[in-house]
Amino acid sequence: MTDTHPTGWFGDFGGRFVPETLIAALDELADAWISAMADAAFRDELDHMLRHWVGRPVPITHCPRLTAHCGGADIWLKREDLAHTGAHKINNTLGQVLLARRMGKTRIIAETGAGQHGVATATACARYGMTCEVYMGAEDARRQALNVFRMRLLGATVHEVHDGSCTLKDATNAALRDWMGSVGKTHYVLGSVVGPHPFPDMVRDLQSIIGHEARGQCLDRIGSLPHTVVACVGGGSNAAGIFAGFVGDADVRLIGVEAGGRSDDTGEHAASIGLGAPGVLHGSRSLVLQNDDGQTATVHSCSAGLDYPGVGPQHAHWHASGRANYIRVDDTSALDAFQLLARLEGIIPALESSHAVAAACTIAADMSSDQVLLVNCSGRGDKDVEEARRLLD
Amino acid sequence: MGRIDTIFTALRAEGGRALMPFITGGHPTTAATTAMLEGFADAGAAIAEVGLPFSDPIADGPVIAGAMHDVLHAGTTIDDVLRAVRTAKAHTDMGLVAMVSHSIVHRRGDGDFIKQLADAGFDGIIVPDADLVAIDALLPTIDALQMSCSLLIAPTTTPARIEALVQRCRGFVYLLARAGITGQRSSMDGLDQRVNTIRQYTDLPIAVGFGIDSSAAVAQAVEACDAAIVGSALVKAIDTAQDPVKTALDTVTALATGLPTLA
Repeated sequence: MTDTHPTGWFGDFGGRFVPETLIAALDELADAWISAMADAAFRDELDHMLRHWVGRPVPITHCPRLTAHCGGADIWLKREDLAHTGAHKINNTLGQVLLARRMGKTRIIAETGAGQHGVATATACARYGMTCEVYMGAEDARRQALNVFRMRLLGATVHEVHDGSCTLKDATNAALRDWMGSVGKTHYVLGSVVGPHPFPDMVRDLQSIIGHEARGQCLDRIGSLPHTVVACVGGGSNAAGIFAGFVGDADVRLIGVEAGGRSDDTGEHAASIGLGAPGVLHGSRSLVLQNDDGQTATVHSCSAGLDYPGVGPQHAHWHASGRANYIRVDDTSALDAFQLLARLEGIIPALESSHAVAAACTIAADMSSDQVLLVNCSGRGDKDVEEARRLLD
Repeated sequence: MGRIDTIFTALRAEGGRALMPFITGGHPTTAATTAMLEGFADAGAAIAEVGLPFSDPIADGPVIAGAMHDVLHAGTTIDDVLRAVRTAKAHTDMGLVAMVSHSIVHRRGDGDFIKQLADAGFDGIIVPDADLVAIDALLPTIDALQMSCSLLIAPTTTPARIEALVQRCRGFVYLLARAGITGQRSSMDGLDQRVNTIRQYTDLPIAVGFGIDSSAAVAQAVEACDAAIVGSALVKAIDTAQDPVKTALDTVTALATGLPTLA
């Protein structure tokens, strides 16, 4: 490999497929990240804030009634829904905002789909008095008006994007364009383990607290590692975070769950690994949903957080190497699991996490009762209650 | 020697400079693309750039991105654009280069796609967003076909990176007049210094683009560089024109008055 940055590849996936203007900014960011991680003061501040502001560690919770209902493996949840703002997204945004501050950046930009990453970014920016501007597809802003209000309440400016399909991919394009003209004072807080190097590494590292906590908690409370870990995958940040704690344990089975949507037809799902092919989108080579000309396909999921036509390059690599398996769960099964967990365990999961819960029920049934299945409950479902009511009525 | 090399060698021999208009392939129609490419040489262009429409053109501002979305929305495919270029190539000896996102190059088969570009009549390729690992995989095919390969150099590009980029360039180097997206006005401040830095690493012709929208800007750009690229200003004129082909040719004719007159 003759590239000046041989890091940033996961096998055949990853890299930096971006306009030249961003290369220097990505170099600066990669260096800053390495230096921050080696700085005890930075790590102490991040740890302090994760503990006392985000509310970590979040517990693992045994699900006796769900276990009895599914039959088979003992089901436990990692409770990212209990983190501040109600999802794992805050682990990443807090870390990146702290890093941006350390780099002397004064302005933060972000893309958002349903608004969860935008809210988590606005939240961290509010805490540190940073200017925050969030790009959101006009169609998404219409569907998620409450999150638009939430971001504004937190002091952020929301820019509605009217290009292309007016959804997450277009918001991401708009954020990248902004960054190209503003790299000097602006940091782009990318919301998942996607994009050009170093974002997939950095976001995974910031989310790896999920897996590292969960591993210790399993050993403490259960006395063993889980047999299987299940997480939903859109871009793949919560899955990369929990997998990171177990990927070195060869005996722990890792399963990612993609959005199967309404069917396997193009435009009806968001299963980039299961139904996509190698391609380049938003700065990295990964598995993507494109037509034969390389034009990005439309995608669908009942869950806005999984509604993305690509996936993090490390997931593509884990899939290619066989270290993790990826399956898909359709809208109907996810909605069933959404209700099931609410009724049996008193926990309303996000529609994204409901995909993992649905898969877990099926997988657990094929396992024995002395085996443990750990599911990442990546977010709470309060944000989805209205949409679920609409879909279920 | 490839076609692009031949064009620049001839220009340099007589102290000339190149005007390089950019159009979005298929905008507003593939027939218009053909007609524009057939007429650009007489209007004063030495080489034309054809942007292949892409659904997610990150480097492009609202004008070019909007044109690309319109083209795709009309159902125009990459093959349709290649056909339009092939038709024009039979009637012009002007140089033709494709500006194409690596997303398209990769999905269409990398080296196989380079061959398809050559077969359509393209003399070179500009890839604005590829990892150098991917460029290295394309270069054997590009070289075998004697095509040009132009990578972009930004105001933020470090000297070490400039060296790595120009080693992979064939035909000409593409210099961005400023950071940001296409279609924003720029000043040429610091252009001489950036050209001097590039000159430490290569003698390849340098084409400068981003924000050139008048014959005066063309004149300023070619004082230090071999070529001026005009993109968004032309695409915008085409976008709002009653007669897109006539407007495109008139616009290029007017911009070409910024080129030096030869003895």
